[in-house]
Amino acid sequence: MPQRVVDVESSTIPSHQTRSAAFTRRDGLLALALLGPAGLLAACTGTSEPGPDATTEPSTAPVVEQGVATEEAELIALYDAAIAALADSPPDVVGVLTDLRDQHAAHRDALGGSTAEPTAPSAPGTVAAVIDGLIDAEREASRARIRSCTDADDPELARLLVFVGASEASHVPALRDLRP
Amino acid sequence: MTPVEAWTAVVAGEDAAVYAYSVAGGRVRGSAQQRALAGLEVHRSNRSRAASLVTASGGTPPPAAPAYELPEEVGVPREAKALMAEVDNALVAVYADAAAASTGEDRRWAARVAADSAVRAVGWGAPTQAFPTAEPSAQ
Repeated sequence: MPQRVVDVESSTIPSHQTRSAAFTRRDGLLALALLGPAGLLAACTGTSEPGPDATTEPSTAPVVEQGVATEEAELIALYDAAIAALADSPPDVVGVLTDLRDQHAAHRDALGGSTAEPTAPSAPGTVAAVIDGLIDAEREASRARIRSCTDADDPELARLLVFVGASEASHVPALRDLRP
Repeated sequence: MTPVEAWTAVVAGEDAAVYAYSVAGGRVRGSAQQRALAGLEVHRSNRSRAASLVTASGGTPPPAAPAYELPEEVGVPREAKALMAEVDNALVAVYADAAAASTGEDRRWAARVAADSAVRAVGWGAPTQAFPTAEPSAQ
């Protein structure tokens, strides 16, 4: 990234609440002066916490979070079925699908995990049909994340859903490259 | 992070992206150049909308720097694409901060732009990531 004077060494990315993962990004770019002085980063943690007195209604965040984690588990099942159906495909196809599947597992875990064990419908026969099915599922998932993000009453959950939705949207061009 | 701080960071990030796309766009040809020019327009337009959100939040949009220090050589198309991928991936976190600091339509816009940025980064050859972020060494 282009640097503008200051180099902020690392900053914390998603991690809803303090849950599992604290992802760090080091790099120049925007870490750059964009994030500005360190005090500004520190301010991220404090300001948006709803105070204990601010309760009007219970937060919907746990419900939203659980719902999205379950949808991630469904996507994982979809990928597992696709990987099984395309087991005879070139290794790079299976490799890409496995990477994308694992990214959904990271999403699920960042959202607190899910005990759901959905069974995916058996994948269609041709490679093209399998890939197209995954593309449709990723598009719908990304749109759903943006909706959940917009509706979330917890800013940190909203932040996490931005990353998850962006990841899922970016799976579409990767899948398109696999089309025969 | 307050809305003013978050949108100000978006303005600064988009200014850096405009600079990076301007430089890198001149190093690629054909359909890649068309995509770079389209991306440049998107970054200019996003910069403009973010600047209006800074103003609406009671702040003053920061001016763009006259030039930015690029993190690496941008001589050949491969390097140019890596730079654009890095800029776009780095913007995801900046927009995620803006989404956390805003609500309603502004937050929806931030989430949508973050997704578009991650899509462009993969289009430039970046690997997909569970939590898209700039990864200079991954190219």
